[in-house]
Amino acid sequence: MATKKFDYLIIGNSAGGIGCAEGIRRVDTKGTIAMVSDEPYHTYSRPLITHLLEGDVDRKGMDFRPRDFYRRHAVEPLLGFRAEDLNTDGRSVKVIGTNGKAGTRHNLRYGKLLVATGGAPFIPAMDGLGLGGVTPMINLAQSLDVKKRLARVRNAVVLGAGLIGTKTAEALSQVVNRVTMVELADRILAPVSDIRSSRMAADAFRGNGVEVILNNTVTGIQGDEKGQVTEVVLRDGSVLPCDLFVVAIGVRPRTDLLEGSGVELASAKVGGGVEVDLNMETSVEGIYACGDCAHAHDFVTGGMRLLPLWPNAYIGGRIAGLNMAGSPHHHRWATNMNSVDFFGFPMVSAGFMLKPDRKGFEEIVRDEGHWYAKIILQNDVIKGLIMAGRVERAGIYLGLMRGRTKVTAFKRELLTDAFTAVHLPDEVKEEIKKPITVIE
Amino acid sequence: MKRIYAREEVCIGCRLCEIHCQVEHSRTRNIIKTFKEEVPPPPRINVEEEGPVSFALQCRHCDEPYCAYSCIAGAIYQDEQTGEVIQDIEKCIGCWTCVLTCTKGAIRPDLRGPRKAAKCDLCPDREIPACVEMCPNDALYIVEEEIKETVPG
Ligand SMILES: Cc1cc2nc3c(=O)[nH]c(=O)nc-3n(C[C@H](O)[C@H](O)[C@H](O)COP(=O)(O)OP(=O)(O)OC[C@H]3O[C@@H](n4cnc5c(N)ncnc54)[C@H](O)[C@@H]3O)c2cc1C
Ligand code: SF4
Ligand code: SF4
Repeated sequence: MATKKFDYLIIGNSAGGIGCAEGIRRVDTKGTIAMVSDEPYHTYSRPLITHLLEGDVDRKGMDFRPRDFYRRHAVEPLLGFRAEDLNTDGRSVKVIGTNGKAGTRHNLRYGKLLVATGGAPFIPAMDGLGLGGVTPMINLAQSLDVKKRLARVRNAVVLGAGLIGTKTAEALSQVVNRVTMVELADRILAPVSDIRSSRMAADAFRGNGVEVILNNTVTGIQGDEKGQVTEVVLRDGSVLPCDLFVVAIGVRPRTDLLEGSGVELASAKVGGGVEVDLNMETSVEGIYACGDCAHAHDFVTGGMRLLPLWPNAYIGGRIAGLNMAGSPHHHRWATNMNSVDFFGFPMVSAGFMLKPDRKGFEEIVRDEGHWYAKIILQNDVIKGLIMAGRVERAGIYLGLMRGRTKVTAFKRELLTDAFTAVHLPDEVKEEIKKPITVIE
Repeated sequence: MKRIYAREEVCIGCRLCEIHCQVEHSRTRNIIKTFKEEVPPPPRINVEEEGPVSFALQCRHCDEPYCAYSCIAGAIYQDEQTGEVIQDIEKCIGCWTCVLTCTKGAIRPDLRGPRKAAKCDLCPDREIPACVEMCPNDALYIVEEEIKETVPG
């Protein structure tokens, strides 16, 4: 087994990993970097796998960075290698070839390590999970597999109506006869919407032929003699014909590499994940983590939590990279922020979705029927934003939220058409005219 | 790099910059046809106005572009040579993440065809960007600024 030494070793070839490499190269053009992923592909945009399925993005459109990325950033890519056996004292990781590279092993020694291993799908125990046509939807291989199958699919069922489930259902509805989305909660997109906006989104699905079943779940999967899924059974006893069953009820931090390594992990109660400080460094000096596998600072709540979203992974990675290369930075750019468009119905949200039942909180709402906006304030500071059906200039509110700007003077204008940057307090107004020059 | 700034004192809020931005990014690039025959594109510059105070605002081409850091498709990047923040319209899938994360409100949805986000591109086909050239009051001007040193990005 060959041993190689790198100044920087990055596990994960996605948002977090790429952000880290780009962050390092802002500061250090000489240090050696290796990037490992058990996926064999050039870095791709994970959120676009459902677009690939639908066909509005082609394979080339999946590339997150140009094909010469690794060369231009002097990064040695080790794609198709799984990292195991982290030795924090010896500062080394073993990597083992997967698929085509099975049998190849390397021992990698590192100066600094980034863990950006992302998430693993949560799959409830159920008979029939091994049947053909039953799959999660979190990586390119799964998308390509389902794509190959599409010609044979007449009835698709998606379990879970969170971000991944809804996106999958939307994509499938363009290419499959009948699509049904089954959700345990009483509304779709619950973590990223309120009741009104969730209903509007559900209307967009129903209006485009997707059946939405709420307060229900799948309890059984049936297959035929060829081992292919044929129907699913719901909790209420009803049966849906099904030749594609996508399980999308959630993603858990993928931290197997760190089990027993000494790197502190958060408890299962809060969903697990690698604990980090604002520099994205873990409890072990020289080891950093970011993205779906790790915690991050939430600028709305002020606490550390899981925020499995692309911008958080990229920016967290970039900031980790800056720190790893010796340029101190904090990551304070994350919160529960989401942005989607279903069938031409756009919706963005950030921070609190529902007004906490506590003193000091209030809500400003504007409902125009086909579009709807809501702001949640705590002592005149924006803590929550929802814009559904119209998302223009949402970023201005996010900026106020992030800057903890008191909106007292223009609270009544906030959601009116007349609201502009001129209403902002002078310092904020002057700031908005300037380019952003710091990352934090 | 080129950056456009506004002079608040002389902006009269006439919004001609918005109009000419729309024409420049329209299919015909003809002012009458843009508004009479086409669905006009959204302006990539916005006149912020309240009473007598107004100024125009468009993408600041940030040194630290959060739009680019947030884009889920890798469709926005900073040009190494010029520092300009460029959007690859082919790659954009219209997810509106950048609309939410540009805290200057400088990116808007363009709903004319397939969903795409639109922001100031400094008018690559012109010597001087349309908004700057067409402002009757010289309330917009261009500055050549040094870019923060970048390594391949
Ligand atoms: C269908 C879908 C749609 C989404 N849509 C959106 C959206 O619209 N907006 C948004 O903000 N977010 C969205 N997300 C979430 C977003 O994709 C994630 O937050 C983001 O990918 C996290 O990036 P990451 O770098 O932390 O990890 P990941 O993207 O998960 O990448 C981690 C990589 O590390 C590899 N890896 C893990 N362990 C090992 C190991 N031991 N050895 C080697 N390699 C390893 C994995 O195989 C993977 O390639 C979506 C996700 C999905 C699946
Ligand atoms: S779009 Fe917004 S965040 Fe992006 S460079 Fe322009 S002003 Fe900065
Ligand atoms: S709307 Fe387009 S440019 Fe903006 S984040 Fe989404 S894909 Fe990127």
